[in-house]
Amino acid sequence: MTVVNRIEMRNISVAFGDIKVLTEVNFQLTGGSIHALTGANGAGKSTLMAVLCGSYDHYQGDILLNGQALSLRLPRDAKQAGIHLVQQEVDSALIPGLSVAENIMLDKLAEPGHLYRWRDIYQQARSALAQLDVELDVRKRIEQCSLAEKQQILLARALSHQCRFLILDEPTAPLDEHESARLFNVVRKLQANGIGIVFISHRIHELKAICDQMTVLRDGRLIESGPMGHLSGEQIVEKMLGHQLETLYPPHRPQVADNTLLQVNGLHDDNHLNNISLRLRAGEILGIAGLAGAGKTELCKALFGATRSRVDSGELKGKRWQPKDPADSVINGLVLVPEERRKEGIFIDESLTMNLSICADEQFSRGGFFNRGKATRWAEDIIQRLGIRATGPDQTLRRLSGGNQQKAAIGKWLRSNADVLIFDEPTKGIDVKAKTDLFVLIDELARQGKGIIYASGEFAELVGLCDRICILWDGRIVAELDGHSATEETLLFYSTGGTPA
Amino acid sequence: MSQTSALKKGGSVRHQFFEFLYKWGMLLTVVALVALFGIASDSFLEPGNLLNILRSIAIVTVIAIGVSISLTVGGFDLSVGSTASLANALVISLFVWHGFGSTQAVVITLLLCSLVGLFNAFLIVILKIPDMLATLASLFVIQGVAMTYSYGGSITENMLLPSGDMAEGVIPEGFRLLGQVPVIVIIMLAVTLVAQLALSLTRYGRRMYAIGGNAEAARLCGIRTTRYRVAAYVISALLAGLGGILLASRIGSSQVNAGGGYLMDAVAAAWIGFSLAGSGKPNALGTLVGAILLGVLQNGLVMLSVPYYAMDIIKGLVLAAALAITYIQRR
Repeated sequence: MTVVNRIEMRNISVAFGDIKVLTEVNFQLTGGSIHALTGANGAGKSTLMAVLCGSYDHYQGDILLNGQALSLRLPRDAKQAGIHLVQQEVDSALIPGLSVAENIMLDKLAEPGHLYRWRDIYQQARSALAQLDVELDVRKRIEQCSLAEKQQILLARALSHQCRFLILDEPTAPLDEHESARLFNVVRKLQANGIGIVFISHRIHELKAICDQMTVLRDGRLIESGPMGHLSGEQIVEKMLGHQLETLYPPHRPQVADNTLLQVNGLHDDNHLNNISLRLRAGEILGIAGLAGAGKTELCKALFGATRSRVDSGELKGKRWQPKDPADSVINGLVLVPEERRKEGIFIDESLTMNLSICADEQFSRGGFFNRGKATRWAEDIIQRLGIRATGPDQTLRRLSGGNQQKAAIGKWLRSNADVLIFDEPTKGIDVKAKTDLFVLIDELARQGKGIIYASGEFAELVGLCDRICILWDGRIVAELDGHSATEETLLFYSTGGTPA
Repeated sequence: MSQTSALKKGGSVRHQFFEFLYKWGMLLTVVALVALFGIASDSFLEPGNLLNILRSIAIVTVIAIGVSISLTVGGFDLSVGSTASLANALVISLFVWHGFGSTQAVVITLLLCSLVGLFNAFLIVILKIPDMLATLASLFVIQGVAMTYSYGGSITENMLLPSGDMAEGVIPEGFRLLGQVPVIVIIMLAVTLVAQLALSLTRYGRRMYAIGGNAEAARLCGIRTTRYRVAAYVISALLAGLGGILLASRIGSSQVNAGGGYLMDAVAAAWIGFSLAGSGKPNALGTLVGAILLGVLQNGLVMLSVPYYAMDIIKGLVLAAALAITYIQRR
């Protein structure tokens, strides 16, 4: 590759209705470079890249490819210019029921006039995968692939074309450390082949490790753009936030009284959870640490009664208790903020008011009649208290960023008499600013004397926030540590199956 | 700056226009059709004819509101037509074969119809059959039950019983009043009003919409979703039963599969109703307006001497247009 390709976006603005998502943003990408694109949720990263992929036909501004004006109004335009995207939600770009090979060659199959030549398709798919140094059975069905493999399939799809620019939207979010390292090798190799790569991520240390250029967006505006080395990690976070990062975690709470709120002994479920016993005190944050597949989500749902489980004995607020069903748990003051926010935690096409009032609707009702005004005032109050960024209580959740959706998912429980709140990966897919808000909120709830169960695979959060941490491995609790003395290393050690020496 | 604000304004005017069309397009269509038919035909706007339209849509509306209620919880009740047929057969047979009085016959019929709702709920909640397929199955089952019950024929006063005797029961005069103006129109309006108030103003209605919006999130909110879904299907069957009773009162007999024809009109009215006031959700008032739209169309086309066999073409096109208004917005 002798020609270095260069794409320039100048003064790009995008608006949806009256809402400006991007305001005159400039962005350059050169072949053979890895360009970090970062910013808080809702900063406009995805929108900017969507413009580059031809997803919006109503953007304003100019795009130049090697100095020549280029119009990217259709996804086809972008593909012809050699711009390809690997989506964050890999499943949205893959077709279940088809084989790996068909998914890799999907764009070719969509072209008219092709007979299905299976041998060619398999051959081309294999060679695309070979560029990534990946061994994968191309006849396998998509359903049988892991998340990492699905991502490789999308990468291979991009490389099956004349790929000049590649956009990776939060590629490491679903990957573990080993898989991430592998991805980095692939990305470096593509870089060496002269491909220009955009790497979107929240994880500053990853960006520092792999990228040479960096652009920070905030509120749809360009904040900083330049070589990677110029800024320290803290400085990048400050640019993302727009103010100095004091500290991510609230100060430690004082020692709590030994006042048991919730206790279960010998919890089992049908497939994964094995003899789990735990105790939660009032005013305490109990961490549940575990990697993917350890059974965190299963445990949270079993405790809440959302899935079937058996316990030897249990106690909630001094009374005999065992998980029955969600409705029963809510009545007894035990609530869950689920991991799969969109699927389980919120009503995406409903207003903030509806989302925030649905769980405690008896408080807004008299004689069965619902008092809309009261619910709206409550929603306004919560929007204020949790700092939800929205145009008002009538806005639908679809229009909010992930962090704000999560605040709504938590806010809905603040009106009910919940004493035990279970959080399952609450910081998944939300930005630094929203995270800090969330930690402050959870800390406040604990200080009010509520019991918090905080399940997460982000060990730094557990160490920063929790009073005690139980470590889950293969459906069992393998260790319990004091939150103030635990370190990320020990958590990692136990949660990968290490046993006390 | 001025340029961008001008652009913004231009965009928002267009935006507002579509927003307005989406919210009130259906109502405008009704008004436009009434005006059109009023100009084209001398007798269309006469009070007698307008009342006639309301009478003709009453049964469809009552059944359609049942369908709407099944739609609010994310379900779909296709068995309403068969249930109406069953109610028709039941209520007439209770008079003619068994000599019951009006109140008893109506109450017994409605109770038996609620069993249909429980049967649907059993298929959907316990056997986990998808709503539309389950009620499609019960459409056939209930249709068959209704026909078997009436020995595959009609039930009329003074009919010849299989035993060779003549049926001696009579249909009470009071019962016949149910199907006459104004009672039938009052019943329709009362059902609409109660359903609309219950759906929009009570927390039960809000919970039903929540289940329709995201059943799993609703369950994890502590809403007992199963109860609400069972209730929705029972209410739907009850309203279908009421529709069948009104039908029986109108025709004064029971005919084979008399309610079957109401299914498609009811489904259409319920879906057209989604777009009223931009709610995008099933609702009773919209369903009423949807039924009015269909009724006006039917009546006006008859007045214009459009042959009955060509009417479904126009009905179908109007349904397509109404659905387009609802879905184009959701893009």
